Amino acid sequence: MDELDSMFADYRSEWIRSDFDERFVEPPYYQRFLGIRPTFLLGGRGTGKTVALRSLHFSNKDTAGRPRHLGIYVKAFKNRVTAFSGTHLTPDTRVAAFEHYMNLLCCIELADMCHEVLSNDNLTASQLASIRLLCEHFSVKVIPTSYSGLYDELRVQLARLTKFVVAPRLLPQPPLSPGESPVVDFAKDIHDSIATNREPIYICVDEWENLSEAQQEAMNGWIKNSAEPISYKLGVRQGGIRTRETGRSDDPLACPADYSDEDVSGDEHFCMQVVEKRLDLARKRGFLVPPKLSAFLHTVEPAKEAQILGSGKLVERAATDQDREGHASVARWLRQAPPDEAYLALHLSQRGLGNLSDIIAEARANDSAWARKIDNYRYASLFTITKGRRGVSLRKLYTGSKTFLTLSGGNVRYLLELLDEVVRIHLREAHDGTAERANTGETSIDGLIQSRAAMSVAKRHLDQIPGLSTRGFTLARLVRSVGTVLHELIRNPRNNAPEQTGFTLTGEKAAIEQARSLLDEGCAVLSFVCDEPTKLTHPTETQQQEYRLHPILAPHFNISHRRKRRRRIDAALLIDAAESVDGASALLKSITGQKVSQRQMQLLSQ
Amino acid sequence: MRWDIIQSASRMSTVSALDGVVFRGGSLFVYSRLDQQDRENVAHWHKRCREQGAPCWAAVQESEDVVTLESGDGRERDVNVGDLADLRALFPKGSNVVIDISGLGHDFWAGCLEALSGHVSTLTYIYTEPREYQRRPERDKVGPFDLFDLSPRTMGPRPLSGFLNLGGPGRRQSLFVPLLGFEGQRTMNVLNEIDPGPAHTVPVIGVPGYQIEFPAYTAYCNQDFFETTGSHRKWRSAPASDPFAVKSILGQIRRDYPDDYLYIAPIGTRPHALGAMLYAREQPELCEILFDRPVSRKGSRMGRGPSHLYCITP
Repeated sequence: MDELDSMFADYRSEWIRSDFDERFVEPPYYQRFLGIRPTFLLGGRGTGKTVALRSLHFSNKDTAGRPRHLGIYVKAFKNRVTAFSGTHLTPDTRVAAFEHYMNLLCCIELADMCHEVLSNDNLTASQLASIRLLCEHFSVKVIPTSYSGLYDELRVQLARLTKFVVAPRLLPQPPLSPGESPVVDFAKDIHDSIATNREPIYICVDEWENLSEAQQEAMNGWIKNSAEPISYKLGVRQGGIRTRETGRSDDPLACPADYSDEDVSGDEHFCMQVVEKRLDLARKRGFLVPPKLSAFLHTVEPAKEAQILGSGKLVERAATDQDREGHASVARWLRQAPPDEAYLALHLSQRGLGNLSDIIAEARANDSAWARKIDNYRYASLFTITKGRRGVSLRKLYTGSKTFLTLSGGNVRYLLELLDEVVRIHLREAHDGTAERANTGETSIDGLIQSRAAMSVAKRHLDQIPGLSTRGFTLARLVRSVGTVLHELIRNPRNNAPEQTGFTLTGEKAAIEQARSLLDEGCAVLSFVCDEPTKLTHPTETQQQEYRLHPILAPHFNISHRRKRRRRIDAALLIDAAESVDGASALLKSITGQKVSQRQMQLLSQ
Repeated sequence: MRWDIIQSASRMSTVSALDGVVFRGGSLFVYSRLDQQDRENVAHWHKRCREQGAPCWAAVQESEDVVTLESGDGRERDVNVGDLADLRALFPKGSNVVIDISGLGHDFWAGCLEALSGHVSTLTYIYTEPREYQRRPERDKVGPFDLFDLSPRTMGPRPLSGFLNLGGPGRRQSLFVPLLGFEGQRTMNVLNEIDPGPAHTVPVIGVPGYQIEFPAYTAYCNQDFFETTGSHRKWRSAPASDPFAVKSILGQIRRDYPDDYLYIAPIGTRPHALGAMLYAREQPELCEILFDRPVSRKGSRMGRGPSHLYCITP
């Protein structure tokens, strides 16, 4: 079991492992993704864009040691591509130098691929001719006679370009390669020389969102002009495409004529496949884990959960009161009903939906009406069991594969992180002797451990928000405010619809725009999620985006991780809440209608 | 104190006040009037320039790429800090230049390192420590390790003037060397930019710090980072005010990881950032400075501590 601690620990950068191939799971769009058609993969961090792009890299080999694909991978690293946007370069030089940079990056990778695939330096006449042509493009005087020599020479050219970009008025401009010609010519030659079938040469560019509008426009031209054997595959965050212009008037990049889009975010089924492949791998290595995630993560049923959270005392107290008041049959029902249903009856009366004896009378008389109540209110009721109890470390359980998949929001990296935390706590407790050691049967993780892991990951993500964006501190305050508001709504059910997890914006147009800009930034760093609204809940409401906290954060605030009901929030209040604790208090007060308590202040500020 | 004599023997000297420092005759001074901070030594430079007639430039306005400088006689001049030729044109060839970097934007003095190399006779940087940093009120904290309120946001990484490496790691694996400060979230922010994550991490802490308790604050504010990277036992130290010690530490780290590509993130003190730049100038192809461009909160650095004089050139 100990070796399991590394099974899910690669959630930050899964593709750099040597066993990439063993762990790789084809995403559902993969077959559409392959092939000559340029493709934009659209998705947030951790949705598997990089893994999909890296799967095309020439370093991934089949069992015979041959590359599975002839592909290269380059990344638009912010600390480098922004150098070409400096005002110390003339506008024309900015684009020309950037294209030269991309030519060099791609050709360096292509040279590396040839070096690896051919694995000898006895080049044919046509290969040497190809190198000569490339050197012509880059104005290289001394022609290398091997691909490794070419690799080194192109890196020297890159260093030369670096010096020029740093001091363009102090150094002579090096010859800049024209458009995408070097890449096109070199890729064609490589394809003729080493490709064994008609499969394309994949040129994968990741983190497209880091390119400026002018840079994207230049690269769009490359994509527009692309032809066999080149296929561009591009990874971009949602909202990261700044332009579809190609530098030629009236000829923008068009979908589906020039490329296809694949939205890769939020696929829970794919996430499950990824982790079940890990479980399968662990089984092959001799670990006693079940093949299915649903068996690995034990689901605590609502009746058991109510019992664990302490509904028994509350129900017994209510039953005793009923006995005292002479309602023996009501007291008997409370004592005999499953714990979750007995507590639900108390919860419904707290909601103001009738007095307890009437609610129980309905439960006994009308099965279908009671079933509807269970359906609508039982899950929300579980959040209120621990209300008012001090020092309780677990106020709600988050267990089972379905819950974990929802918590991850269909994000592979988040699911791996959750499972890594689960395994870490499980192993630690097994070593401490505080948990039962794995017996001879397959390991199934206890529900309490799962819940603690979910809380721990949620807390970690919350603490990391300030570092995720340039407006990170503002976002973090907004997340805390919204989380605290939702927590209060679910803990104080009276006059509130159950499980309100989403919200739309109301108010002045300018305020809505401002709030939306911040929330969209939150969505980009996965602090919030934006959904299209399902149905209108108010006559004055117009169809607009619905926001909610990313479900990974839900366990920290003890709120529901599910997409359920929504409410409207004044955009101006939301903006104020993001700016200061006083603003957050005002938001809380406006929604709950109550004075902000000391405990709520702590939630807002810690 | 005769700095011209001292700098022939030592690269660094510390004084409690700049009034008693004698520079080479005809030295050209650059300082900042941008932030109204005590440590900008505005009154001192004003006296030296206006009353003693020394040639000077005062930075009076700053945008992303352009700094507006005002000369002693009130003339204004815009300088594109990304353009080394523009920076070089400020200073006559062979001049003796003294730049007080305490309040100036990083791009200006980073660019001058490269632009003035071989152009001026002597280049001296001066840095004055603040006495204390603005604490964040308990109720405004957004995380347990968020003790200080220094920069409400960052602009994200963009190369500093004069410092660029387009080549990246190539076939090398990467090593992350953050020069830690009080803003642990900035460290995490920069770490998140490196994707895939670095193979190794070796943080550097300023020890001794400007105040005896500062290294402990640094360690505390970076708890998340230590936990995420597991680098608790790998940290190195260099005095918070000594750029040459930082340069030396980076050299040691390079020797310990000879095959790695260094991502150096100057998060903490300016002298540490200067040390990173001095190192990067000597190893331009094997390292990359990742500066996340914090937007400083006005008034977040308070008081005036000792001033340090660094001999950059010769």
